[in-house]
Amino acid sequence: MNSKTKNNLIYASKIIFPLIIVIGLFIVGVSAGIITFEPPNKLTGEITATIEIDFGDGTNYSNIFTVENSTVFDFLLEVEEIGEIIVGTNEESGSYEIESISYNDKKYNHGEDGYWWLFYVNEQFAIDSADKVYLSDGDLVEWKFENF
Amino acid sequence: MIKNNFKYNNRIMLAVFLITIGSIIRILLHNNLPGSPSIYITVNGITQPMFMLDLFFIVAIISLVSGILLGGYYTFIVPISVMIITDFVIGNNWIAIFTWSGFAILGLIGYFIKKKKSLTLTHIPRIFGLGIGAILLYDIWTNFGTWLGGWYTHTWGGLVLCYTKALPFMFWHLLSTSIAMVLVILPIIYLKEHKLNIPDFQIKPIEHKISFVVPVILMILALLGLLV
Repeated sequence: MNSKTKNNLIYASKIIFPLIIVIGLFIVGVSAGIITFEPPNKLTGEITATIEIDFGDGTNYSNIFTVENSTVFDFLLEVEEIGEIIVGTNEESGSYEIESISYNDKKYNHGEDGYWWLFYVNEQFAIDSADKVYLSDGDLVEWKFENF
Repeated sequence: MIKNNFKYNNRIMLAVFLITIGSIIRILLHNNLPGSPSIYITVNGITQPMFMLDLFFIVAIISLVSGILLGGYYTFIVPISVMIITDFVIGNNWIAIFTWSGFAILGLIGYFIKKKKSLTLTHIPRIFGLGIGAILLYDIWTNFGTWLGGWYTHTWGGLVLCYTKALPFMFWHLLSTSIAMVLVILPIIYLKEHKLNIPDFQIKPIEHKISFVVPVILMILALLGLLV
């Protein structure tokens, strides 16, 4: 093997090996069940969780609910169902976004004056949309109307 | 003198072109990205989509190209201009200065490729390696910002959760930017190898130093902004 062929092989290997490693890791992930093509199973049974809403102007709301098969979004709708709040939503790409929450005849619009509706589960910020986060028994959900 | 002026204006025009194209694409694609594909990954007991689609790759590739082609001041001027213009339309929050400094780091790595005269076909693996390293650096830095900013508890567990939740974004950043690098940087290398209209601007020593100092200052400002 001459040096040119050898150099070409080394060059090709620098491109091919990383690709093989990435594809290999993906296949191993699928085989081990770490990577799946089905969404996570919904939790079954009744879930009891505390929901707190901080409206950012000193107004607060807190309650405990027991709901079946529930996401963070379902719990918020539960508060609406008992007539405490009115939730405005927008569906985009299969996910629900909170547009507003009204409480005591005051509407708090998502994005108005730099205030945004964000939620935390057990004091941890949630990146996913509220309808994709499933709660466990005893969880604390905090909705905060935060200013950036 | 005239030749230098022409070259200097060319550099500004190219910077304006990159800022314009980056801003237009980011604004146009905003709200028009498809949903996450049905691939899920379970890490640390958390199951989440493997890819969370965002527009990182647009600004990332503009940052790398501005570093590779323009260098100097433009390593940070171009990406930060794109971010300021588009953030004005799309919106951002306190994390902005972390993302801006992150893109300035990407620009700086592009500039490093230019300085090492690595923009050749023989150096493609190195360019891709540096590009991937830059993306990882960006994600480590900006997610550290979200942890520090209070989105997660300030504990080891909070930090681990922060980086676990960031994995779908990181995987998407790596995939989308690698594809963008193939589509954008490979043609630039090809044109340069064939001496077809790819300018090679000279950078003055002071400009060289400033291009390294500014991202560091931005990173310090980002940290101070949260700590003060």
